[in-house]
Amino acid sequence: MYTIFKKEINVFFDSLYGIIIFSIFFLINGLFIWIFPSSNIFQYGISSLEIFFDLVPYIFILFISSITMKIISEERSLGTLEILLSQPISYKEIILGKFLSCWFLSIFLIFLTFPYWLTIYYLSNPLGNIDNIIILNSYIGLILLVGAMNSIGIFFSSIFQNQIISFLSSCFIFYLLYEGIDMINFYDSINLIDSFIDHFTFSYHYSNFTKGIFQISSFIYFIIVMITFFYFSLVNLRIDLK
Amino acid sequence: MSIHLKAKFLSKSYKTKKVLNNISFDVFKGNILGLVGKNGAGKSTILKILSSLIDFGGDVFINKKSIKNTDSEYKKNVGYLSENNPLYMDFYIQEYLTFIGNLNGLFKDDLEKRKKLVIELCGLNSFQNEKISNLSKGYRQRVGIASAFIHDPDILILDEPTTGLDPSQILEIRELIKNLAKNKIVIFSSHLLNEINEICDKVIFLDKGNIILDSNLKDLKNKHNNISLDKIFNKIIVD
Repeated sequence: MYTIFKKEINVFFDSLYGIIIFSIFFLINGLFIWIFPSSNIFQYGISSLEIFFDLVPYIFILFISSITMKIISEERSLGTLEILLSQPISYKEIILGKFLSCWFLSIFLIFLTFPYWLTIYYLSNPLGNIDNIIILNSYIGLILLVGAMNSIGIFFSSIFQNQIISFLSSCFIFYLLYEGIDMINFYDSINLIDSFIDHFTFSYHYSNFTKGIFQISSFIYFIIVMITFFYFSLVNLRIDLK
Repeated sequence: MSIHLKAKFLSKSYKTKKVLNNISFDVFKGNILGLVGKNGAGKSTILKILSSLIDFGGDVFINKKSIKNTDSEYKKNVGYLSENNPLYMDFYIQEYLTFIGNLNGLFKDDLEKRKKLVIELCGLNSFQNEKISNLSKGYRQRVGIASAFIHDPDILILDEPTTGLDPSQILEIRELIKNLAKNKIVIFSSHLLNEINEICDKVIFLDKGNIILDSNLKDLKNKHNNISLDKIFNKIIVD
């Protein structure tokens, strides 16, 4: 499993593709959070990273779709999946190695945004007047959210040989789970099932964390999504045995 | 240790199409088994079954032990070169061999020793620091073969290993296969009957998923008064 993990990380950092994706992530983040007048933190007037945590899931929709789109579909279309399947490693190890590498890359990106926390800390007046518990919980929520997204992205990559279709499917489902379902709930006719559907959305569980609450049910929700789609990917990979 | 591979009643269907029809054969360590047949005869399917890459009916036994219950253990003992020889093009040769070696449980000194040996045997010395994408087809084929036996497996499965190579490369690869077979079971498929003639101890002719001939090459030639393998094959097909 570690060999697959290491290979994926190396491939990402050795390629121009990886550098471009990382750069775009920080460029978009930086522009929205520090530069654009409509959204920058200085205009907000409160020493908080709320703007960042509201915005970053949308950026991750694109980022995670980009890194997961080729993770299996490319191996399948190039035939290299056959190399992996003929080695003495289990299907579980292959998927787990790939999932952990994508999750690691996402967490690495999140980790690189810690200076934002420090900046807000030093900019606040009086010094250090920020709610660290909210920020810490938001980071935990974000790490879990990206874990669930990666698991779904890998699942789509395991279904489609075409990377573009895999990318678009992931983007669509991430958006639907993050915001689309909430939007549907605005219609009065389906208001009755509103609160029930809410429990299946990313935004509902993620917002618990961004409010500073570590809710066990939300933690379990993200873990269940990760495991479920991990299993679905495994089933898809086994189709190659047929 | 002697190794005996026995395939019993292998069958395989894709949807409604039957591609292998209850075929059985066996092969011993030190032997090279060649699979011959037209396109779609079932050669690659047999090799994929022996590499544990696809589900199948029947069973394969290594020294009387079924591979169905010991998948991971069995794969440690098998090296497989696929027909199209897919490779990670962005990898350097050394990097690729390390990756395959690691997957097979080779690390540090053991890995370095094996890498050095397979690079030497496959004639990749002067290219070992090259990217795979920069290599010619012949050298890519060598990388594929090198990765198939980096972990020193007892069974080597090669699906048309000489396809697309120039004549001198074909001769070199044949020589390599002969050397490797001294202490291994080598099973390979080919369209080229002269190739089978050159390096195999045993040959299986396949047609539409059935074995139409399974024989020791020497016996086969003696039986047909040493006529060429092409003629024997044509005669069998006509019969």
